[in-house]
Amino acid sequence: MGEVYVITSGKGGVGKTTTTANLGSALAMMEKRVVVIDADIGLRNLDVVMGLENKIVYNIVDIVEKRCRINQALIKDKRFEELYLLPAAQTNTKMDVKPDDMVLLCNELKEEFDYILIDCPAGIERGFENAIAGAEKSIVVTVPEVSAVRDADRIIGLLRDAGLNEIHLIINRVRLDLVKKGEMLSVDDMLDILAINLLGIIPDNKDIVITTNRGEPIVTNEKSITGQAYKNIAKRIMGEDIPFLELDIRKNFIQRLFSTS
Amino acid sequence: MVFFKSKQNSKDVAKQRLKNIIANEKNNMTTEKLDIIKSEILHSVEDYFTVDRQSSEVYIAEENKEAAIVIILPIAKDNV
Repeated sequence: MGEVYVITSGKGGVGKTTTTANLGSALAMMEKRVVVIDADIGLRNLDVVMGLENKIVYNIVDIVEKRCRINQALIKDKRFEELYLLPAAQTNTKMDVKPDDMVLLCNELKEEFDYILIDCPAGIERGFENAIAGAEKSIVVTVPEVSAVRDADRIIGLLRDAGLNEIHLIINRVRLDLVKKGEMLSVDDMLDILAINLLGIIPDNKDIVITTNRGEPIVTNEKSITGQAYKNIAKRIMGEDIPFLELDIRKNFIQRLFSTS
Repeated sequence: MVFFKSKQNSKDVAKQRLKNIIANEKNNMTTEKLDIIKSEILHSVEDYFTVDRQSSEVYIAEENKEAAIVIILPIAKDNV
C-alpha cells in the first residue's frame, strides 16, 4: 500500500513544484514506484519542470470526467522507469475536480505505487482542498522570508484542521553566508516559529536554475549539493536516519523524524 | 552533469521550450497529441496511398496570431 504526501506551502514561488519533481525522481532512483500529481488545474507546471510537457495527451480532469482510464493519463518519465506524472488540465479550473474525486484517485494509485506525491497549488482555496483530500501525510515547503514563513504557519493550521497531523518541513533556498552574518532567518528561527518536524534543508544554488531551464531533475547531478539535499530527504521519507547537511547550524539537533510512524 | 555535455546555454534551451509550450498551449495541443493525430490520419490515408512515413509531418503553424494545422504526407515513389 502506497503513501500519499501532499507538498504545499500557501505562498507561491517557494519551490513546491521543484521539490515534488526532485523528490519523485530521488525516490524513483532508489527503485521506488512513484507517481507525482500536478494538482494545479488551470496553471500546470510540474510537466514543464520534469521536461514532459510534450508528452501530455490526457490529464487529471479527463480521468475525473471518465474520458480515460488512470493508466492512459499517466506519463512515464524520461529517465526513471518507475516514475510517472499525472498532469493537470490546462483549460479547466480547480472547480472541475472535487475533493472526493481526489480521494478515489489516490486510493486507486496507492494500490499500484509506493509513493504518491501531490504538488499543491498556491493558495488555500479549492485547489488546496483538492490537493490535501487524498493525502495522509504532508510536506510544507518554505523559504527564509517573513511572508513565506507566515503562510507556512497558516497552512500548518489548515492541515491540522483537516486532520492531516503528520506534517514535515522543508526549508528551501537557505544561504549559509547570509545566515552566518545574521542577515537571514536561520533553520533554528524557523523551527522555533513553526514547531514541526524538519525533513530537510535545501541550499540556494545556481544548479537548480540550470537544470530547471532544461527540464531535468537536479538529483541526477552527483556533484550538486542541492541534488544531494533532495536525495537525503528522499531517504528520510523512506525511513532512513540521515544527518542534515553542514548548512544546518542548529547544535545538538537530534530529532526523530518519523516519531509518529 | 548532463548540462556540461551540451554546447547550448541552458537559457536558450529554456527560451525554446517556452516558445513551444506557449504555441501549443493556445491550441491545447502537445507533441504527443500531434503524434496521435498523425497516426490516425496516416491510418485513413494509407487505405488509398502508400505514404512515405519517414518524411511525413504534422505541426501547428502560426502566423499573425492565426493558427493552422499543417499535414504533409508525401506519397511514396512506387505509388505514383
